[in-house]
Amino acid sequence: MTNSLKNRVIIVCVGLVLLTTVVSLFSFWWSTSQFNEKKVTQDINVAENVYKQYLTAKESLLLTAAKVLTSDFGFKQAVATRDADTIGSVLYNHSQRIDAELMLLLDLSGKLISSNKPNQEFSNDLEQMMNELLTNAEQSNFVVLDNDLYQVILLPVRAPRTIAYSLVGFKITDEVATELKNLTNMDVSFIAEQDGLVRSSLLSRPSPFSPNDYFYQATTSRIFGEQVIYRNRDLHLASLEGHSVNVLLSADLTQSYTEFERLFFTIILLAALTIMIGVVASSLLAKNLTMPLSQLASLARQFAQGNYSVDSMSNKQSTEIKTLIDAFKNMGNDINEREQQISFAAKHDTLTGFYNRSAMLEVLNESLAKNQDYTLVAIDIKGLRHINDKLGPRVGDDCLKAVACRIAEFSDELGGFHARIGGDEFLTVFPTTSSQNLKKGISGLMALLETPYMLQKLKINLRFSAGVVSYPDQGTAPDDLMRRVLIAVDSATNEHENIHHYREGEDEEHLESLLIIDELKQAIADDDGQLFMTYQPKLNFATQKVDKVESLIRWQRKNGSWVSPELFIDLAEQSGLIVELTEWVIDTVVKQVGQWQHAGIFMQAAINVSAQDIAYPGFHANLLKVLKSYSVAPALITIELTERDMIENEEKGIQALNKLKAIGVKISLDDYGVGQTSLGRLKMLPIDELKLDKCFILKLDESEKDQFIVKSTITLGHQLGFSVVAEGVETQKSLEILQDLKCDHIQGYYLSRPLKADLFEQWLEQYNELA
Amino acid sequence: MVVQGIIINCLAMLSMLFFSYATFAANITVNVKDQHGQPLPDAVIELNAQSSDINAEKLPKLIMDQVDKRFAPTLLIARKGQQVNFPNSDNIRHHVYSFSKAKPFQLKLYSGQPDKPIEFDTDGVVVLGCNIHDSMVGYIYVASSEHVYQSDSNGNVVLDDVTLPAQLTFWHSTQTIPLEEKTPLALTKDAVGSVTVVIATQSPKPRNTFGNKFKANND
Repeated sequence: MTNSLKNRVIIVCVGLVLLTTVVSLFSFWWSTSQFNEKKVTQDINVAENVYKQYLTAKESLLLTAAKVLTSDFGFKQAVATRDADTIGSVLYNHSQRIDAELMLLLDLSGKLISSNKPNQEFSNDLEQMMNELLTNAEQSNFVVLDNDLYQVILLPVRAPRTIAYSLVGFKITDEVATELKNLTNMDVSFIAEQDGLVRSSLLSRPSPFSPNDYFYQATTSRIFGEQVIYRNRDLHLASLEGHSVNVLLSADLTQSYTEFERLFFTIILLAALTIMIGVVASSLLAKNLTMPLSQLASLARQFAQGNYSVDSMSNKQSTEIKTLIDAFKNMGNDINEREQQISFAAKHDTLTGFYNRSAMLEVLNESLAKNQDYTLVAIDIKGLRHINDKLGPRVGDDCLKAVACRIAEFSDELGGFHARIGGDEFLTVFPTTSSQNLKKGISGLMALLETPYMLQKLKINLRFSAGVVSYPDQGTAPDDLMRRVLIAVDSATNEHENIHHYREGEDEEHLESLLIIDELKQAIADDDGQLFMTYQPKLNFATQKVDKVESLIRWQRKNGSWVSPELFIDLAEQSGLIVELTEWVIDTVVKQVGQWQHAGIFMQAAINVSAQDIAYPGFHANLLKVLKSYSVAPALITIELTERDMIENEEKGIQALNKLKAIGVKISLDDYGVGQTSLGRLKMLPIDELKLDKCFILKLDESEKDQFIVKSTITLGHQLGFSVVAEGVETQKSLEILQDLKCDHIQGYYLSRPLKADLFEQWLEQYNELA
Repeated sequence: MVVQGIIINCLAMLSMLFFSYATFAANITVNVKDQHGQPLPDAVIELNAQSSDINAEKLPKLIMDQVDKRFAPTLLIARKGQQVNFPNSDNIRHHVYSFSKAKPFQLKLYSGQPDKPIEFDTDGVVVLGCNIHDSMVGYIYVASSEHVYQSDSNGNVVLDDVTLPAQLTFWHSTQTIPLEEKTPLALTKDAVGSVTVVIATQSPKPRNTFGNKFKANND
């Protein structure tokens, strides 16, 4: 939340207020300091002026008094008489008149003639003092006489020429300093440094008292630390050489400190108030600003949850916010519309408008929760690919639409629902009302669907397979239902049924098949001996030698159980795994043939392949590569194909077989006699060998009919240029009959069952020895 | 203050050699200068002060007038016992007084001619003042000798037929030595021609500016 707009606005506002406050505080502090400084300086200046005025006034008073005295004729007369007593009384008299504490009469050489106080003696050198004072005639000086400070003036007594000097002086006492302090509001200290004399207005003094130290160093402890109490100005007074007298004016700053602090705190208080107001005001502003934003944010969250209804928001918003809200509303509507489109498209098939497979699962999940029986019917259109191929995909699509239309018509009537679950597969679900109704319903549906269609002026007949599953008897979970209904329809297709009702256990078979496919895949990849080849010998009557074998695959799973080759080869064909399996077989067999060749055993080996193998484009190249890698002549390999495999995709198959034949590989037609191979077709097949199906051979010794068939087939084969093999020979008698009938090779349990390579080698050795 | 010495320059030492013992009377010009070499007018030179005997009664009455709040003349040379009148030529009154030892007296506020002249019967220097006009200062030199001279504006005094050897005294109102004292000088019989005498005077002091306004009252 520290990063929120509201906080930012508040921070900016408060920051501005704070900045303003700090700046004003600083400028206040600065200007007040300056002002105080100036004021103190001014005060001191004023004090200095006052003090000067005071002293000048004193001086002028002194001068006047002294002049009056020295100009007095009687005084002059008295001085002229040199009558010390008289003069003394005169001096006393005058000193009383003008309040002068000091009044002396000195002769021209500076010797004391008389003073206002009788018998006064001075320790000072009056002569020297007088001479110095004379150089500053008519100007007052500050002198220390007998431990007292005086402001004195020396004036000559003229009669009319100077006959004596009169020294008149006022005593400077602490009271004088105090009086000055009252005038200037500053402490005044007279300091005669050399004479060690101090007169000061400071009443409470430290002891020893040295004004210079005290006033310059005294501090007071304030908020901003220790501060000097006094601002001082030192003034030099007119005084005698070597007896300087200074006056120290000391302004007491305590008051100004106090005032400054009071002002400072007032400002701080005001600043705090301003900041508080700023915080409140900016909070309101920020709230005003951010409230619609947070409303919009919650609106966006609401949109995210898929709720696009917009509550009317406050109308007091600014135009910008209103625009934004409108844009949000429009966005919500647009998104809603598109979402519905997308969601429809996600759940529905675009061509028919039916639910698609995944949507159907949801629908099943939602709709089948009631206590109601349902029938699920999966419908597969047979041969739709042919229609697409021959009449074009548009007609194919129209067929799908028309079929969908009829399914919808049917299931809507029954209150059911429907989906397209594959390219040519539909699913319809409707409530099962009664058992006879069910049968009628499904056959009715099939009848409805199989009614010819008029599409693009074409009358089209379609055929269908249907798989049926009952809910809840045959499953409740939509996944299971879907899988089972598909198994049922697959079964219908595979078993050429019109309608296949799902049987209990089919699902498990299906799952087992899946498991087997998975394991087979793993077994091929691992090649760890689970899969292995067996070889069944074929005897050549002409040479009475075994010169051919048929290779047959066997699979013993890891757990030791056997899997029938028919099952797993069938599953491999269904799952497309057959290509890999055959590649493995070819590799294994060719390798074996190569090994035998090395061991001096020349053996032709037959390999069973399926139509899918032949159709696989890489088959030919792979076979060549393997033959080459094991240095095995192509003539040693025979490809065995059943009649059914030959027929499927005949054209391409014959092409591939011709290519094989061209490189020298032999081709054998397996299971001849039970399939649909017409004699016309037989003529065209590029085969080297006919292999009579064992159903004609097993009971050959007992059945005359079989003998006729075998005899004529052998004759036919020979006449068409094929060699003929009989398999399933189990008796000596059958063998003899076949020999009589000029069959070329025989194969069967009478000779040997299929054997692993090493066993076969042993068997061959024994057989050759016996022969 | 150091009293300045008096230097005599004998300008005609050769003639003195020729005429020595030839004559005992000579005309001698005394040139009075201050210590800065400036001619000093109004210096008083008295010859053989002690030896002379004066008949005061025959001497005329002298006048020390007061004109424009000044004594006129500023310096008046009187013989011992000579009488001096103090007429007041101003249209204001004066109160002339003296505290000098030679003759303390007062002529209290008067105008015109005082009742009687004042006789100065003691030789010495009498400093005159006016009690109501402090700036008025006058001097009456009361000489004991008949031969008393006042230097002219060039500071020269011509002594006619001085019988040598002779004793001279010099005085000037601004001299640095006390006012009552006179500087003696002995002229030998060889003295001839001109003699230069230097009297140290209180030249106006270099004052600080503050004192300037009181210049008039300063010595």
